[in-house]
Amino acid sequence: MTTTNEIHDLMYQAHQLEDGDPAKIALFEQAINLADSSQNDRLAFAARNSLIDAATFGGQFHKAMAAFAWCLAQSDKQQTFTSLWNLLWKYKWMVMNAPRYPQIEKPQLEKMFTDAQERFQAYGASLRPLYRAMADNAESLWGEAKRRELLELYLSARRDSLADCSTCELAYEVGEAERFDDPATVIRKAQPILEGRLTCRSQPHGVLAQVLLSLVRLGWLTEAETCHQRGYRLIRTNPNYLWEMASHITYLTLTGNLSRALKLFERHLGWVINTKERAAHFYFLLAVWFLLEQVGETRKRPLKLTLLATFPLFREDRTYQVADLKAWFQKETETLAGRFNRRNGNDYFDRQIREHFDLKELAERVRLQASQPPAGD
Amino acid sequence: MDYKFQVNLQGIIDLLSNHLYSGPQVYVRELLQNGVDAIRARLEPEPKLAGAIHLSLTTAEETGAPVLVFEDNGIGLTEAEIHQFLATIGQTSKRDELNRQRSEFIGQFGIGLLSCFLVSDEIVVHTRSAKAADSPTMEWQGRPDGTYSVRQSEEVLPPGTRVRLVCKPGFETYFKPAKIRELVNFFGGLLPYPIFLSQGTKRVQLNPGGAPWTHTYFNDAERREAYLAYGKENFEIDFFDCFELKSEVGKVEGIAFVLPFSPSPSQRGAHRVYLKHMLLSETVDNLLPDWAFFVKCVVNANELRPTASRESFYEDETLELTREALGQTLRGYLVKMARENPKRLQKFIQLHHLSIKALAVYDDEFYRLVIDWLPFETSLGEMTFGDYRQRNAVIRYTPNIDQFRQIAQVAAAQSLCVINAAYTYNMQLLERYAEVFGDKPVGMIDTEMLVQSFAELTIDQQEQADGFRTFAEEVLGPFHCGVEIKIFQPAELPTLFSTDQDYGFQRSVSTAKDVADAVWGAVLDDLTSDTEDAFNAQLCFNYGNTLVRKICTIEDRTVLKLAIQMLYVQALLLGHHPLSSREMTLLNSGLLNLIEIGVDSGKGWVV
Repeated sequence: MTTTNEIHDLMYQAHQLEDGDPAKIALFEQAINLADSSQNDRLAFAARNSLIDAATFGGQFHKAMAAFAWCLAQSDKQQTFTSLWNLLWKYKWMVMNAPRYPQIEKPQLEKMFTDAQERFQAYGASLRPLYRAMADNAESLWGEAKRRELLELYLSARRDSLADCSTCELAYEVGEAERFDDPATVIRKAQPILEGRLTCRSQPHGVLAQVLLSLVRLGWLTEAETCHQRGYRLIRTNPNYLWEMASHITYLTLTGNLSRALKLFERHLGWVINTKERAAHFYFLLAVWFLLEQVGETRKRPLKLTLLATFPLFREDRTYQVADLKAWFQKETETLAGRFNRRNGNDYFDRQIREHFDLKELAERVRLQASQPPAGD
Repeated sequence: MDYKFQVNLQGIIDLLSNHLYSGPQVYVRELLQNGVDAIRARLEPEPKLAGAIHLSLTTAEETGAPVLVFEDNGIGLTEAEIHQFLATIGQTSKRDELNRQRSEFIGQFGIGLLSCFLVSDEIVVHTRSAKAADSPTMEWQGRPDGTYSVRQSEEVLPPGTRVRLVCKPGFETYFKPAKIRELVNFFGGLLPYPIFLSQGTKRVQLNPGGAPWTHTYFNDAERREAYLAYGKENFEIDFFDCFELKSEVGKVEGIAFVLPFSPSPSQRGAHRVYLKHMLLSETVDNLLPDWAFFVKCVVNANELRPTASRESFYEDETLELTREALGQTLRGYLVKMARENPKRLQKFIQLHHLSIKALAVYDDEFYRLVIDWLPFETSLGEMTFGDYRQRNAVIRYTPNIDQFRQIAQVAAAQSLCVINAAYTYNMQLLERYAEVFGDKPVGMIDTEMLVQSFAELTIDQQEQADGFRTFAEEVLGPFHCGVEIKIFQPAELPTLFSTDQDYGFQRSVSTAKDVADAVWGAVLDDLTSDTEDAFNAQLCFNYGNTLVRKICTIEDRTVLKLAIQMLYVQALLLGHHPLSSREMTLLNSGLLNLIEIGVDSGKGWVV
């Protein structure tokens, strides 16, 4: 087989696999290595272009960044491997995801945002999706006022071919409502996605996790359980849905389904151990810390858990003291929060911890609701 | 004074159809659904009624446009019901706001008969209620401007409903007999009531016999043949095999067709699901376990609750139990094949090993049954797991492709055969082996562990190699590559290059940095800032190799440096790692220098 054929073959195999399968990313990497070794820039570009996609939607965004930087540089050298549109489309992902790595300092991020805006403007594109992407991390980076400012810019900018799909834009609205509105509004906004009238590559995966808390607040536990089961099945093989996984664990914790919450923790711990840190790690660690706190309140005996051999507290006998685990997760959460806070120059992530632990009250309410006979349906 | 909005019905219908439905063809579904609901409603007081649906196709004499008349002998409508059912969109109840939202969240929203405006500018309905013997026959006429009229018809009809549609210009396709037959079959092919289509004096039944699994067959072979023919007719696929599906819970029945190819992710889970014999959806995603992507199913469910999206069922205990029961049936099929028809199983595995692996990962009994048949890539080529475990006392695997390549170079000489577990499900399967069988240890092996197991140098040898080691560390340090010296087999191999899991990423970053602009260069610098001093790779020199021993004695630092650099570059190339621009320079200038040294040494060349 010629090298060119081999590269095509690897890429073909990779395209057959699902988002989140590490083999998919590995196959594209092999294709890139071969293309680089044989100095076939055109195929090296094509393979990296696919890797950006697979890594962004497969939970290894850092790999997408390296590939994107290379593609962008090639494109700047006047090479015609791809349309500019394609790179700008992916630049949105960079703007949205890069701030989720605490090691990338603020000045570097801001310069990148400026670069993205300049490129969008030079192309004649609306800045709408960039404003939205920046707004996503704006509160943690620059504070609440900047977030509001960016959202207003986003809403007033026109939609064009680089805009996110209407399903994604609705999902953002659900996210906003989740933070600032009453739970009924969240559900009302989410309805077109929950009912399947609007779908896309990342929906309803995301929204099914996003509405859990609101459904619990409304006391609609059957609906919540349906969203949990449906959503979990959609995300359980893709580490890109780490934030969503954290929400599912929190949902189970709140509704007292601690054994299932522990099961999810056990199964998906690998998504945060030995991987590059990003903001979603923080939310997963926080959800597990909160879960262990709830478990510790009633359980004094140690837990039997099958955890990864590379987990720092790993024990051959599979026996873990709740307090030990909790202490580890607390420390990891706080350390990571500290790194983000230092980078951002504020205490946003500490506030996130406090807000999460305020959920104890809700857990108590659910317990009371469960112990009372249903008021009729 | 309050006023009401004036709503353009046609506009609303177009809007709703575009958002709710896949296209104008849904008018057939809505007509069928209305007809079936009406027949079911009449069967309650009159259980002996022979429900039937008649379609007849003619041409309108004045315009030449095709006309479709759709008639059922169901319960019919009274005048009051006409106003309620035929002329209301998006009915709301008087319940409080929150409960209303909840019911919408659960409920389903359809436009029923009004969907006929998609293909017809005029809907005429004749209907007579079966509730009272003296019910009059009513005529309802609806127009797309939102107006309608109701009057008592001069014609007296038997109880039931008759809908007359005149084809709108441009929608002739939806009135072609073949299209109507296709749509009726698609939406209602399983209905237990006969559906007839007449044209002139010709009359055919569109759904002879209903669901194929309700027929009686002479023997299993005949049944299989009939099912496969049904599959071919409905999906235009020659399926590999088929079998029946059944669950008491949820009242589910149907056929699973085994695909003759491995489906891509987007094709997975596209099962055709009927609810009470009417098509619910072709994309129901949660009726079957998700490892069942080797089959395409046609099933009818009588007791499951769909969500408004029509793409899944409500997650309740009934669904959970149904899914489990159907999963058992699928599993039973595989188990039976493994026991009775190993040849077919082998063929099946070639097509669907991903599916099989996915199931084996969490089903111990199934794991025991199939694991030996599953193919794995090993350092001695592809072999089934059965062959592998027969020949090896310990099951060893590598976690990624780089590790696999590195170890494969020395594995045979170390009497080691390793499995490449980089691919989907492989690692999970191997890790479960000890749990399921427990007769052999299973372990991951990486190059670092392997290097640790190699023989150390004797004290004398260490003394001789010590200067070399320090110098090599100096030379390779800038490349983030550590140095080790050991003795290992095969002796012909001068070095073994090993990398950690971050290595590929670190290299891709430095490749990108070679070309990136200032903005992105700085971003990438930060991204790898926390790991920048780490050694991601190690070059282990084989002191058992003659060349390496010779190199250790070179005193000329320039030549020694060159030798080390060239061995490093060679290791990279063997490991399929593309060279960075700096390494490429090493290779180019290194080769030239070596030639120069060769020529200068005056010893001539041995070819």
